[in-house]
Amino acid sequence: MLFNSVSFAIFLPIVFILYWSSTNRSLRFQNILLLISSYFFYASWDWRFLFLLVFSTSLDYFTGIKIYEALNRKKRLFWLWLSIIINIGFLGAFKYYNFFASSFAEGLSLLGFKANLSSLQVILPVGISFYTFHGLSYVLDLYKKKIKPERDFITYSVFVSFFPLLVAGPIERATHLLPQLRMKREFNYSKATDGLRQILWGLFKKIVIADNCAGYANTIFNNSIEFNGSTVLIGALFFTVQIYCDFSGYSDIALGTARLFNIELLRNFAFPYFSRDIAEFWRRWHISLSSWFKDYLYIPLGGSKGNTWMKIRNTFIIFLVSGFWHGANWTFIIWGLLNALYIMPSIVFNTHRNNIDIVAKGKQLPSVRDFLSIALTFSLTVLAWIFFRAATVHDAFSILSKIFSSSLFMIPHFPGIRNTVPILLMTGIFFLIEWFGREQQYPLANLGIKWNRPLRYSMYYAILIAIFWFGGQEQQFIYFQF
Amino acid sequence: MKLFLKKLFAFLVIPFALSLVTGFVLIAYNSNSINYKLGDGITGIFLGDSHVRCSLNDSLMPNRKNVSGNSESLYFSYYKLEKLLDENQNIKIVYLGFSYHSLSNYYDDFITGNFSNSVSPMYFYTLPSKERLKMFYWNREKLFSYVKELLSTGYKSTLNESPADFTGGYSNVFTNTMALDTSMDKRIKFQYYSKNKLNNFSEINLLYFYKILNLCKTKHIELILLKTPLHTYYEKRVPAEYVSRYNEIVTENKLKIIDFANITFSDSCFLPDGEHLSVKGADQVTKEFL
Repeated sequence: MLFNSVSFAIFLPIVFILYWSSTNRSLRFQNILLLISSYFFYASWDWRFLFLLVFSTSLDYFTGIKIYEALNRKKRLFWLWLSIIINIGFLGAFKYYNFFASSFAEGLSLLGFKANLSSLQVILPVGISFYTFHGLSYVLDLYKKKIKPERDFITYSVFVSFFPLLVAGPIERATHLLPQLRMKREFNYSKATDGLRQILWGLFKKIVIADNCAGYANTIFNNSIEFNGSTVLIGALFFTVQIYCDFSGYSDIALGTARLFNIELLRNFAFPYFSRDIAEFWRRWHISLSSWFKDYLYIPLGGSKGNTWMKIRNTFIIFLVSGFWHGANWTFIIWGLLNALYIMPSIVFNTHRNNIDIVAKGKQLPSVRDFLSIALTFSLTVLAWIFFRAATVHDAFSILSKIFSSSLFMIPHFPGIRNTVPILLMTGIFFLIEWFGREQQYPLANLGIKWNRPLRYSMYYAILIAIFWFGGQEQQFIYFQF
Repeated sequence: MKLFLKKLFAFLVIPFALSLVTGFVLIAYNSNSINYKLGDGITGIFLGDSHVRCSLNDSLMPNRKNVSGNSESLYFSYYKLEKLLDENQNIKIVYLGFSYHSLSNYYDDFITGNFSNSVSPMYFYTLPSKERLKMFYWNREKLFSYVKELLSTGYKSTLNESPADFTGGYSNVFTNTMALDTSMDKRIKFQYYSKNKLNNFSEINLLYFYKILNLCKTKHIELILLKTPLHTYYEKRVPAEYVSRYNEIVTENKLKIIDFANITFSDSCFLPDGEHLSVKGADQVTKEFL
């Protein structure tokens, strides 16, 4: 059930009405309804994997209690490692088995041995990377005594499987979400309308911008051999826009949907393409994952304490793991390592926290220096996305070799896709709205709030019409595959 | 909550009602306004999918009309043929594109599956009401974009921007192409296999194939099957089950068939997939017809 599908358009109002009309008498009813609807939502992908989700939830629920009740550190460590090993074991089996098997066989063949490791036809359970990280953050927080265990199984299960965040995040923290699930929610009119606005903006990003850019990006990346350097570069630019609008659009819909139930989720994007350096980019891109790695990997490794070499080592580990988290392919690993290289100068010269504030705060336009920094950061990001999108490392290098060749100066062409001009125009308008709304949580949050109703409604209608009329060929959300 | 729902309803009811009214108007208008008349001189038509569409240049054949369309399954061909025969009493002969791939259930995707959304709107206005409802059902998961495509197709037709889309026509812009082994392998895989297993035969296509046979019989129209040229590399890789089923159908029903097995076509007569013809290939096939 995709967020942009008819099934979801039917499912969401039903759950919303039931939630606020029938089950709002007690907290327990509210959570039971959220759990049933979340499991229904998940089962609509593939009901068989529901057992895996329930198992993972139960495992972390019980090990969490055991960690808390253990009398000594040794026992606490035992239960923690049990949870980590089983969780990572499942993730590894479903997501990485074929990668390791084929890489191992290739490695042996390079040494002259012949290995015949059978690859499995494994279907990746939707959202496994996300709910595994949910569970892990919970047991790690318990181990560090940041939180107390949740004794109510229903509440804990909703924390893991709340449907807006179940398949592609944001990766929530127990410290943030569990307290909200322990309190009865009351209907809040302004939050509900705000949620709808964020859903509308998310749908616009996904259906109009991302899905249309996907048309170009897919054609160009899948047939890159046939195109000149300038067209391939445009393909990379389209993918850069696509992945941002696809994933942040998804996050907007997730956050907006949760807000309809008076639940606040963690913000996942903060206008990353307006970043002035790579460190800032990573503070603004997929925030819930970046902060997860920071809290549960980078800091335990020593973080930015210690000498420069330690910092460099830790940064490389974080980006390597982050790349690998995205998928079992060398392309993701190189993408991660490339980002580690990008960020390295700021680690070495200790400038990685130079750009903490919002760019050109309170101003209409950025300074020349900021503009050039944004342009440079954006360009580096575009090059890195080529590895993320390409099917193989070889493909990525052949695309790069095209871009850095004389054919970069040839006239590009837009292969057989209709509505090019309106799409480019709308992408331009989209970035303008993002720029002027960059001080809000999402650009539409305050836009037109003070306008009179007809004008405000006209804007919403215009967005609805654009979604309906200019929507691209439906594409699955990119992050669902992770 | 009630106030919220009331306001939301008030906000959505206007665009919803407008879309509904526009949709009904366009469907009603287009259903009655499509012109299926091909001209009095036309006595024979070429019916089928993109293989036929890019193979026969009807501008060189005075009494013939190519009415085939891209990804046109026999399901759509049947309903199109019904309309064409009703409106053109002079048609005496129908050349129906029918090849091995027509038997494969990969074609069902164009009717009931993933590609229905992009293919079927073109034929929607030709279908009877019952089949239209089925189309909505088959496209229920992408209903919004399906309705959009329907409105867009209907709107263009109303403005007479692309009236030919409903009836199809010869179309070929490929002047500098060659058959490629890798593309042919890919094509074979796409048409005959899914997840490395041989595809089943398409029940819908076969059902409508027989419906076309009956329709032609009832209306005393001569039906000739047309198997457009295939590259030898491609043809050798067509699964044996498909070849024998195909031959069975032709012999059991004592059907006339035109195929080009005895004529040599060079690599440049094909597109890379080895089963669609380039302009050069189309010229050669058309000359054979003349």
